[in-house]
Order: sequence, then C-alpha cells, then structure tokens
Amino acid sequence: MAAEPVPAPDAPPSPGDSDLAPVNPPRKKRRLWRWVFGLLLLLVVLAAGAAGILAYGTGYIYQTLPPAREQAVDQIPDAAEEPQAFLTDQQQQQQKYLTVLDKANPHENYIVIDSTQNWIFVRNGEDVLLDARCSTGSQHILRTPKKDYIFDTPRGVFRVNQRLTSPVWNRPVWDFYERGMIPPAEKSAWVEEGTLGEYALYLEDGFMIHGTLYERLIGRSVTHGCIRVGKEPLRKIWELTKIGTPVFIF
Amino acid sequence: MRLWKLIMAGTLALGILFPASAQDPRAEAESLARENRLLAKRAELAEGKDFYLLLDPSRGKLLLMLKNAILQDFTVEKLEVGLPTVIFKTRNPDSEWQGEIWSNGELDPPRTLEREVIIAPPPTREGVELQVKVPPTPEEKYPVPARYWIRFDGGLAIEIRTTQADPKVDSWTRLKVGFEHWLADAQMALSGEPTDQVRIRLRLPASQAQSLFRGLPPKVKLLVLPRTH
Repeated sequence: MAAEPVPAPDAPPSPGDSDLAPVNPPRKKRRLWRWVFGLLLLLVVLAAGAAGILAYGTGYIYQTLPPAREQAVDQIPDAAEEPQAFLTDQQQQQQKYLTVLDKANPHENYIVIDSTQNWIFVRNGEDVLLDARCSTGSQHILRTPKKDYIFDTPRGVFRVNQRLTSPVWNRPVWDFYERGMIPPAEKSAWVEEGTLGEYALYLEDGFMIHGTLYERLIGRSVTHGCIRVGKEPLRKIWELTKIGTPVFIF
Repeated sequence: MRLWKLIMAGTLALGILFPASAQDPRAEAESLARENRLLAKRAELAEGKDFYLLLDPSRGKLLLMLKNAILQDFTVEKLEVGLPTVIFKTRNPDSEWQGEIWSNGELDPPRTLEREVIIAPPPTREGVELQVKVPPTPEEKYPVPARYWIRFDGGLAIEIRTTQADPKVDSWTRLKVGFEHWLADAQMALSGEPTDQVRIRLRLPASQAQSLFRGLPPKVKLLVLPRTH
C-alpha cells in the first residue's frame, strides 16, 4: 500500500489551493497611487489652463478704433428751441475757426529743422521740397568765471529777417573764452571772413542758417546754436526762401 | 408702364420740392456743430505755442505740427485701441477721448539729454588751440527701443511699435521682452487707477518710428480726429 505524498513545507501551492493564495497588497496600493497622481495632474492642467485663460483676458485688449461718442444736438437747448438761429450761429463760428486756421497756415515755402536728428527741410504743406543733413547746437555748457553759455538751438517758430551773401562772422565773446583768449580791444579781431560759407539766413535772436568749412561734421551736434548746412543744400535753401520765410525748429 | 413712369416722375418732383434733410436746419446744425467742436480744438492748437501731434485715422497719418504747419508726417500702417481689461471685463474711460486735446506728452522711456560742461581755459593773450571732438551721430546717441510710449496727462498713451522685427534680437529675447511687457500691462490693468486709461497702438515703418522717438519735442500735445461712423 502506497502512502500519500506529503508536500514539502516550502513547496509552491498546488492548483487546487488557488482560493487560499494570499492577495498581493503592494499592487493594489500602486494602482491607487496611480489614480491619485492622475487626478492631481488633471487638476494642475486644469488650473494652469484656467490661469492662462484669465491671464489672456487681463491686460490691454486691442481692437480697431471705435466710433466717437457724439453729443446729440438735442441736448443743446438752443438747437431744439430755435434751430434756424442756432444754425446761423454755427455757420458764423465755423467761419471764425476757418479764418484762424487759414491765418496760422504758412501758405508759402517754410523751413523745418529737426534739432535732435540734425535734418533741415524746406516744405510747402505736405510737399517736401528739400531735405538735407545739417548740424545744430552741441547742447554743451561753457563755464567761464563770469557766465555760463548754453549752446542750444532754440525751439519754436522764427522768420528769416536778413539774407546775406559772403557773410562775415562777428565773433561773440564766448568764442574768445572758449579759446582761452582775452577778448581783444582791436575791432578787426572780432570779425572773421569765410567761415560762414556762401550764404547766411539770419533768424531772430541772432541765430543763422549758414555754410561751413567743416562739412565732415555735418549731421552731428557741434554748433553753438546756429544751423550749419552743406554747400549744395545751402544754395537750394537760398533759392527756395526769402525774407519773411517762416522757420520752424523742433 | 405708364404707371411706372408716373411714379418715377412723382418721386423726382418730390425730391426737387423737398430735398430731404439737406435743408433741414436741425440736421444741418447738428452736422455743423459736430464739425465746429473739432475745428475749435484745431484752432486752439494752431493759435498756441506748443508742438502738437494730429492723428488722422482716416488718412493713416500722424502729423507733428506747430501753428497749423506740418513739420513731419508719419505713415500709420496699423492703428488699434487698447483698454485695460481684467478677466475679460473692459474698463472703459469715463469720458470721450477722441476729438479732445491731450497735453504734456512725454516719451517713455525718456530720451535723456546729457549736457557736457566745458570749463573755459584761463584766458591768455595767445589763447589755446581748440580741440575739435567728433561727437556721436544722433543715431548712435539715441538708441530706439522696439516699443515705446508717448504718455499724456489724464491717462491717454500712444504706443509706438515698428512693423519690422529687429534682426539682431533673437526669438528667446523677443519672447522674454514680450512676457515682461504683458506682465507690466496686466499689473497696470489690475491697479486701482491704471496709468493708461486708453492706449492707442500705432505701427509705423521702422525708420519713422525711430525718427519720431529721436525728434519728438518735449511736452507735446495731441488731438485724435474722431471716427464718426
């Protein structure tokens, strides 16, 4: 009689013992963690999306120019009560404004000087008749024991009040100080010929548009306030302007 | 056919007898009053001593003017209006800004002026030889940012951008600068009283945008010609 075999204590369980097999707890935990992680990731993505949408709608939102909000004439009592009188009044007002605008308009060639970028133009309204490089004030300050001199080209509107051919330069006192000289007593030392080029257009306040011996410096801010122009553009400016021509400097 | 001709003739006769609103004093007065409001502003600027910018959206022009004379004109390639917005809710300005005069326009970032002080040498009879220094050109002296503003008192700003990207700036820097600008805009929009209540964004050709930055006079005024329809 054969005896029934006894399984060894550390042998694997037979197929009939599967129900009794222990559950693997780490795998279940891992699955749970995967769910938690997935949910967190979804939340982060959603939060980032929401923040992005909110951020997109925050700041300056640009659109095309909207129509202006007009004040209805009905709100003006005069227009509602006496439309004809109101109309006449408006016509008179319009005439007044148009006269002001017309009076301010140069109606002739005028000079425009861009003192920061060193450009000179001769314009007539929207037409540009000449554009050329020039030199304007260095914006330096010359400190002397008596006084400080600021070498700026002044901004504003001026007029040509004198036009000279072969102009001579009456040296201002700062020219002597700048060169470390005592201003001389003899009058001839105060006059210099040939340094201003062929032409000079005097503006109010003693400033000029003139030529130069230093054409290589044209386009740079090197002057003591005057406007230096090259030989050829200066000739054209001379032709296009006259006494009284407005000069706008900005 | 005869009836059709009669209707046509009748309509024509009515048109001649009553030329619609053209002679209605109220309609004409309304139109004139609208024009006059704008003309009054233009006349005020033309009579003043200040430089001013005239923005004409219908002609795509930005003009620098003084005394009704054009000093410089710029071509506006694109015009947009930006309003501060918080989570898609736009904060509209309290009053109309088109057709009004805006004052004290200044560049942001500013174009700084650095004056050199020269001490006169001690005077002698012979003097000293003048040292001629070659200063930088305006282009070297004033570098222009790709985006800048002209801010006016009262909360209106013009933002100038160029239509051409600077080839020297790489994509990463452009992205970084773009993000910094967005952050600054968002902060401004979220603030209690945004500095820019209305922002007009203008795209100009690069050379003109640079020229405007370098040449803009201080304390400039602005008039935006309104869009009426």
